[in-house]
Amino acid sequence: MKDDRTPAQQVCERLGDLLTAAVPDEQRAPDTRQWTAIEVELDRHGARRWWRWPALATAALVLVTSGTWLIARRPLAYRAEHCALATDGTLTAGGAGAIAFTDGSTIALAAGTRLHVEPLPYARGAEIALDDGEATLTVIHRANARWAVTAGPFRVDVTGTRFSVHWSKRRGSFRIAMQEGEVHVRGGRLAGDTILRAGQVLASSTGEPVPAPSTEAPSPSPPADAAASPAAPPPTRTAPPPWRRKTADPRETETPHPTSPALPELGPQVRPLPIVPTPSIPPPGEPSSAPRPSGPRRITIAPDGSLGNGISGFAWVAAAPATTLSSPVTSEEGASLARLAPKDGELCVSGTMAGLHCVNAGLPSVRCNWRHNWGVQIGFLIKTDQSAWGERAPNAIAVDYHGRSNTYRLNVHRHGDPDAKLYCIYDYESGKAAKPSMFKTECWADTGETLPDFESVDSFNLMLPSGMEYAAFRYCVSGIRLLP
Amino acid sequence: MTRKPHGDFLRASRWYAASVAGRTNLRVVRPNMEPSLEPSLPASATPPPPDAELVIAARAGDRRACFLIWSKYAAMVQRLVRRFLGPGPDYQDVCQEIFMRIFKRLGELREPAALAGFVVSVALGVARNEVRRRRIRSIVGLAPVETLPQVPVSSQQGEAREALRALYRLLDTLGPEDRSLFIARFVEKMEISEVAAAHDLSLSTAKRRLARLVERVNARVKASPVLREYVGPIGQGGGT
Repeated sequence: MKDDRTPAQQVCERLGDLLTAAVPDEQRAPDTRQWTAIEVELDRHGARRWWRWPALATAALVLVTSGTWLIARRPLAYRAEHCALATDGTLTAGGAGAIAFTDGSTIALAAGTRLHVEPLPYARGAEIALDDGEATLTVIHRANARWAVTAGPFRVDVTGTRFSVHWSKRRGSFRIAMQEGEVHVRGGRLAGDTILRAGQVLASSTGEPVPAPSTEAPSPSPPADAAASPAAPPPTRTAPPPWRRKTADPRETETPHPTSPALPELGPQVRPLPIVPTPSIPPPGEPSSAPRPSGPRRITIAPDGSLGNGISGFAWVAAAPATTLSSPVTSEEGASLARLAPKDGELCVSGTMAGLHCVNAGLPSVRCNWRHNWGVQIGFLIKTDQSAWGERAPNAIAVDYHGRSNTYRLNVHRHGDPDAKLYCIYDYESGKAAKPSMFKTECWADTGETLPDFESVDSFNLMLPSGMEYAAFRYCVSGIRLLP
Repeated sequence: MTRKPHGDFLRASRWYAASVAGRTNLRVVRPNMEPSLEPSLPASATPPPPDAELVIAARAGDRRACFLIWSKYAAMVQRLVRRFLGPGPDYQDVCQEIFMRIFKRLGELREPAALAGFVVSVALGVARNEVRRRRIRSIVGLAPVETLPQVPVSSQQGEAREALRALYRLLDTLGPEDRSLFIARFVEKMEISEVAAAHDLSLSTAKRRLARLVERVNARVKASPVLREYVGPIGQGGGT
């Protein structure tokens, strides 16, 4: 120290030396666990810093809006008379039962009829699942009303009308008799929508082709010969009404559906809910009016996540260790892998993912902790035999999705390849027809091996890769089409 | 930025095999990850960039720059905190808080190259707050004074160990500001200008307060037989 130090200063320095010697300079590298803790805090802080006040304002707005929305979204209320309600929601008419809705619509039930009533949001109407028996509906016509009856493989869409519908689960017989208005019927062996008007009757039974609708006069509704009446033109087949196009059809498949009640084998509550079909988004290069047998085949997803429509397998979600899933809530495999079930016709995942740690960023020698922080995938594992794709492998697949603007990657894996060997399409766009030639093992550089075909593909997934920043994410797969 | 391929088919396959046992022969092997996919941090063969570059990058939200700042100053901060508080069990929490505050307040740093002084300043400030918190806890009975701080018992000789214990008792009698000045000036051996900057004082104010601190410390050394004996003849004279 300096020569002009006073004795008092020297005392302090001597004491300081004592402390310096007691805690010498640390030679070891710092404990990286401390950095991990700091990074977690930084992530939280970043989220708070950016979102604190906007989030409060938004939360207030959302509260008010959602409150209003929830009120507006309330479904129709109804009261059932002479009906027994089972724990699974099944209503069974003990005698001549009746259901009255708050909009004035009614359903008269024959004795022993079993059905489910699912009122739709915004008090628009209800979906009636007729399990067995006969129901006569009187639907009050209102703007934007949505009423539908599903009976076995058939679906009847209603806007405002009066009709009787009968479904025998045991015999597989279906019969609908119109009294007023018109309905759209589809399903079974009907190739498309069939419009029925007042006085017309449509009937079908197991194993028999659906006959052309007759025009008998169901009591008590006239006319006796509807076909001859201008008010009751012959049934016509047309596209589904616009609102139906956006609605998941519990029975809808592209392939002809057997009229036998095969679906109830899954149990009365397990109705295959296809992911929302997207007929309005034809894949590039494919005419939207393609003949049905050669048109796109849509993979259906049952409520339990099982794949359908000629493909066996299931949907799943997998997340990297650095990704935290908020939905779905997982329990298997360290909360990072779960079977994924559709909700509102879509497969959705949400959560947060940490930012990547990289060295030599921007250089060819960049190294990141991809292994622990690769992102999240919505995947589809399909049966790993030679008939993985059903009757034939598609020439292209198209995945419809929506989510935060980002780079999504479509990966496929071939049966027999190492697990880490994937063919991928970088920056895959929603709905784009993905042909085998577009998949490369090094898709980020558009190099590597090219996927020869889909024959041996046993799994594919839509991946949201992690980025350099901590981020919250939510994305949904809304449809999968196999293109011939 | 390029992306590397990877997948999670292994776990999906394992899970699938478990859930539909008997239906499939999916292999259960660990994916063969490319070497470049292995975790590469915190290894870094190249020297870290200058402080100014790190600060600018960290301000822009570059998490890697934050990591490099932490890796560069973590040992120094940890040493300072242990000297300031005494080696207790919770110094890691204090260090974590210091770095959180550093990263939050990087925008206040007018001269990015002055990161080292800024780190010291923040570290001393957080340590002072910790001393205040400990005092309050001791006042309300949450922690007895005599347990704060604990004295190291590593390789110190008996006399030095006793002196160290007495020194921490002396520091406890000082206010947090004076304790901070003492640590900065006589333990960390900072120049007076650096002490002034770290405590946000003018140079003259820092000199005055240091002079008063020296007097105060000497007076208490004289009152402490252990410390008086430890400092020996230089402590007998007194005065500044």
